[in-house]
Amino acid sequence: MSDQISKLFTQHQLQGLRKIGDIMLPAGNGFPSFSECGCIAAVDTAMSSAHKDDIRDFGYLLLACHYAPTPIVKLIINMADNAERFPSFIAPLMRKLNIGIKGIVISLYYSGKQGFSNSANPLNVIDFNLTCNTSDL
Amino acid sequence: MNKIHDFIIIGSGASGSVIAHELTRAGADVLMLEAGQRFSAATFPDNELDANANLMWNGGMDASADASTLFIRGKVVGGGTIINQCLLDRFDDDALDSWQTQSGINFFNSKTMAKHYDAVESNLTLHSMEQKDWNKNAELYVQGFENKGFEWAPLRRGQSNCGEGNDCMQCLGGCPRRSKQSMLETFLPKAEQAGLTIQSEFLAREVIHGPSFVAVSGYQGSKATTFYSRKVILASGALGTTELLLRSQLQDKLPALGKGFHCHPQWMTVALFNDVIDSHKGAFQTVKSSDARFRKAGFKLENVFAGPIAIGLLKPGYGFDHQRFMSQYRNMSCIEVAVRDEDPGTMILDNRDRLVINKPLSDADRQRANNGNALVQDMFQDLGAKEVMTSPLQIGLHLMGGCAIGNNPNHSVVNANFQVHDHPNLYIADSSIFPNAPGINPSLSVMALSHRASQSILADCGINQAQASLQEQATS
Repeated sequence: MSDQISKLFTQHQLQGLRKIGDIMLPAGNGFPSFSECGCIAAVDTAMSSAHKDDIRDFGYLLLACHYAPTPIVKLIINMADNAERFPSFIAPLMRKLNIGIKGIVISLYYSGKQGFSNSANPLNVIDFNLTCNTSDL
Repeated sequence: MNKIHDFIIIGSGASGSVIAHELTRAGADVLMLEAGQRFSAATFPDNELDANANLMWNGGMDASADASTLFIRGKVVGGGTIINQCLLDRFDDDALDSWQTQSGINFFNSKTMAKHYDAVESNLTLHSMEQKDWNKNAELYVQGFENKGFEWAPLRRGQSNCGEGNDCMQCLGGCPRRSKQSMLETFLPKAEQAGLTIQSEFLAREVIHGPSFVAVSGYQGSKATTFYSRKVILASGALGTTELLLRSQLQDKLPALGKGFHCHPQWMTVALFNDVIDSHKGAFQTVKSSDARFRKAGFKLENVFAGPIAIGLLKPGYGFDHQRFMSQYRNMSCIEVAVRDEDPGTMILDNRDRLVINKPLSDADRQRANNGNALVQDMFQDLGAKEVMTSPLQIGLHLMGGCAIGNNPNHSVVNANFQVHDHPNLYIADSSIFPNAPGINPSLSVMALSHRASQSILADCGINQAQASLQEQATS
């Protein structure tokens, strides 16, 4: 039996993702941190429709973030989130970085998927639910 | 020996499904190829992440070359009609006149198009939303409009039975009630009953045009496969159809291929209120802007909202401030500005054979967006919002152009009969043929154009409508 979370990313790459996620979504105000909420278990689902080159490139980024000191990772995230402040020749790269990082972290966190985690579910924290009843059909 | 079908249709969205219906009812042998999976009302994902991953190309994260705009397009049997809101408006004279002027095509007028709209609408259940359908988000929208003296109107949506107390935002991941009038509930079942074969999860990579038949090569999983037919109809939308023709190396023969791309770029403004709004509950969209001043100014205001993942992506920043914002999800109201973009973009393949979409925003289009966004911010301030956030992220939901229709082969890709210039066995009638941005939701017009295209195709094959009707009666 395997407890493997991802077939796309290595353990070190997943640790890089946890590091990024916890910077972007820390614990507080009733919210669990990114790594506490267990959503990383759905990382392969989140990446399933991505192009193989993008998955590879994202893996390199995660690995770099795993080995980089936390302040450097914070700086990368901050630069990506402020792409418009950069000159036009570098801004697209920063925007792509932001779409990649934020796209995965936010998608996982607010997916409501939790793996084996017993922490609060972010969707419950924001009191989100949708009803579509089909029993009358 | 390989089977040669009468027709292959690549793509199962609004265009492909209508054409499949018309061709199969005429008795033709039609194979439909679709890159996405087949879901049903019982199997649609019930989670935003699963819906993004399973129903959209690249999880809904296709970006422009400068990464300023995200393009959302369906990758599922039923195409974009599975993930859209099924808002079905006809084009007005302004849009059709503009198309006629640009393309030189005479049938772009209200009188001629009316019979095609009538024909496709006869296959759909349409509902004009009423005041009893409004949720609090719609109430605020109307109040905001009336405070400013702007005109609004009820939306017309394709839906049959949404029941009581249901949240139609769920429909953005496929309608579990079979109410939304997607192709899966309307044209496709009829076409399948008449003999249509659908091959899902087939990724078409190339079309090779010959004088008597066309070959379509691609992959079923990892297995390379080729299908053959006498004629092929490309119906994969602005990005899919253009990409396939570029991969087929037709750009030298078709100088307009990949040009004229439009997307009605959209900006969402989210306002936080002290009261609970619950914009995600009930009927999702019920009212629209109908003020002629907006049409003239080149934008419209849409009363929309989004799931937690999408709202989380729209909000700039991260950390505690981002979580503080998200914790007020139920207190959010939202209005979106959709711009009728004048300046077209382009699509090419890069040296890694990937589609590159260049869609920079011109100064004029930026000014339209700024005007609309300023208006929305002002409306929300008047309504007593405690915080208003306009997302810097641009979204392209209506993807149009790349294979424009027109009489001049130097400036268009298909002719008035929907045939690719100098490729008599290739047809296109999806949104890639739009000559410019109409500023109106395109889905119904894609269906109407496809209805007209199917008549042209059948006529090219020597089958007229009367014969088709007789064939249909004989089949039934």
